[in-house]
Amino acid sequence: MAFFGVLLPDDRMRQLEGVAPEAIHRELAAVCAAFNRRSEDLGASADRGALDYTRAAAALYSGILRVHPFVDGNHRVSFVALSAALWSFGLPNVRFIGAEEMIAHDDAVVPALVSAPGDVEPFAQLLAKRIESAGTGPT
Amino acid sequence: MRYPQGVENGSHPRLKKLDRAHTVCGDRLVETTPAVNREVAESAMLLSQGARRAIEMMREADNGNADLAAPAPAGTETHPA
Repeated sequence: MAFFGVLLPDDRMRQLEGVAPEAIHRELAAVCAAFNRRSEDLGASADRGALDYTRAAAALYSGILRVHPFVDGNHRVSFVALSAALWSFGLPNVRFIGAEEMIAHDDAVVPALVSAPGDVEPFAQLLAKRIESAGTGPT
Repeated sequence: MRYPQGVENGSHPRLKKLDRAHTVCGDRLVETTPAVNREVAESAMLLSQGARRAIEMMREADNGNADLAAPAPAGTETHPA
């Protein structure tokens, strides 16, 4: 948590507690830029498996959740980004429904949210496992 | 977001070709339809509460539906809250 100032219409400055809008914008841009860099790297490499792609998608998903840019709807936006990321790699999206799948999702995503560097490996592995078990892994 | 190099229209040459968007539902691969997307959106909304709370909410909703479906016992009066 940080303090930042906003300029009021009457030119007075008011101090607010929270994350500055500029910081949210900067952090979100960094998450998207990192995804684009990884996408370029994946595209340039010949021999890649589903896990390589799901690592990039999982980092985008958990990155948006960590930055938490909106007052409401952060998870829904993250899911849209996850779907778009997986589809952009030619992979299917993954649905999480029912108690077992939802708990598996949470258990895999939490390490990405609570650890400082964001450990996306469990969620990336869960996505890859679900995709491969549905018979859509790399040929 | 941009498509990575080598990926055209969402298909990577190293992966099995999917002409249309697909979604993994359980252990099956289904073509993504508005209905499937709606399920994904609903699950995202539930998951935003955390899985365990989401499961509670689903159970509460199921119980509520069961209560609505069950006829009121004879002699029971209902009053608006």
